[in-house]
Amino acid sequence: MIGATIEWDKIGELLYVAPLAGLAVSITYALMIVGWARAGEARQSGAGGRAVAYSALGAAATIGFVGVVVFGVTVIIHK
Amino acid sequence: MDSDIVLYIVVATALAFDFTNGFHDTANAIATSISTRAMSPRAAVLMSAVLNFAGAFISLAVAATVAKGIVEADAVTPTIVFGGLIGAIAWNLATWWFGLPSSSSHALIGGMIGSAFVAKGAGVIEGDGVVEKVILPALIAPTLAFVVAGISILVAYRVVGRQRPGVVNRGYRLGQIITGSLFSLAHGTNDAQKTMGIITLALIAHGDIAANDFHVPTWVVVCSASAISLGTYSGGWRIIRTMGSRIIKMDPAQGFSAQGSGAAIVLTASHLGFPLSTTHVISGGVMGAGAAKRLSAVRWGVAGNIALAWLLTLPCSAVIGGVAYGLTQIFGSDAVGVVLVSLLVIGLIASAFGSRLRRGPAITAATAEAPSS
Repeated sequence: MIGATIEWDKIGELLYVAPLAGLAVSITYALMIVGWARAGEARQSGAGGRAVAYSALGAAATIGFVGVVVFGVTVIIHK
Repeated sequence: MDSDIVLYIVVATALAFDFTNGFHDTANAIATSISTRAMSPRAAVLMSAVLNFAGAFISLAVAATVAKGIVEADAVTPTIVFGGLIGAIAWNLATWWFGLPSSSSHALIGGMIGSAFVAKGAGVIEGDGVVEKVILPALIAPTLAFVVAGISILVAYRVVGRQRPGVVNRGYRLGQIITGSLFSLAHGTNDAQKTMGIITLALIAHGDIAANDFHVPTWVVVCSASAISLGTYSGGWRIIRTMGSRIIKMDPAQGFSAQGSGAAIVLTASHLGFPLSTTHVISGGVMGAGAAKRLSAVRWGVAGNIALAWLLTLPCSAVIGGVAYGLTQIFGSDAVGVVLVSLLVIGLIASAFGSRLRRGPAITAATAEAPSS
């Protein structure tokens, strides 16, 4: 019977894991841009506290995005 | 002697398929980067070619799985593989001619199905494999990418909306280079290995490698990696133009959303052992990134043509693969038939390209990034 050996559980997992991964890429990268851009603006306007806070946001988002990329490369290498 | 000639021709045809696979799929990794001017066309194809070459050396796991689960492995002969390759090459060239992105993997599977069907009958085709490896991925990949890229671009606009456009565009252009690199590397590990697998299967059938000792010889790895990277470097500019500027006119944030969510989907699927076509994913992603901004931003006529090409990929490549196999059998001996069909195909391709050259300049790196009217 056609469909008997299809791994439906894998397909089901893909349908919720892939959107989460895609959104993780998008959100971390957008936060990275905002964090570093606002940190630069805050530094120029002399707001040291805000600059540090936005730098921290930019750094955290950068670490998140780099983590996603490293995970992607690991998947490519180990498949 | 006959089997030697068939082997040489199968190896050459497999490398030719690898080349067409490279230039047909270049667009998947770099079309959005070229369109948003994240990279110059030449730099983009060079980067993609180098990463495809490197990717081919990273892992050989995929090479062992070619046609597995689609056609019964015991039934496959070098001449069936030859017919399958002709079907895939013909479909790749036809879709490239019309500038339509379509899956090279599905074309190869279609070609193999048609060739095996004519050679051995329907009994050697594994229906579940076709549903699981072709039909379901072809439905899931573009739909998933459309939705995820659409949500991604809405989130991105929401987050970066109040920033200066110059900063945002520079940031997203840099991101596109990173995600394009991931796509290219993933493509090299997947697609170059299909050719390695095909050549290795032919070597096993010829008796050069023991059936219980599947390993890919170094010369096969080097030749396959070179063919796909040369194909990538030559650039399938017609498809790059369709993907980059004919479906939607995209800004860097849309390009990144399509490519970033596409890369995430392709790699997640690969990690779960359910590989998806990069062509279907990136095409769906581009449409989703456009439609989320404004439905009318997508040229639905172009999108419809692409969907039609996807629908026709399996049956058309199967018919061509079946006809190619059938023609090789008319002449009785495998070698004579394979040689004549090879010459016929080379002649047809040469005359098609000759007539194209006589009609005027082709789409090149210089014109690929220009938005179409």
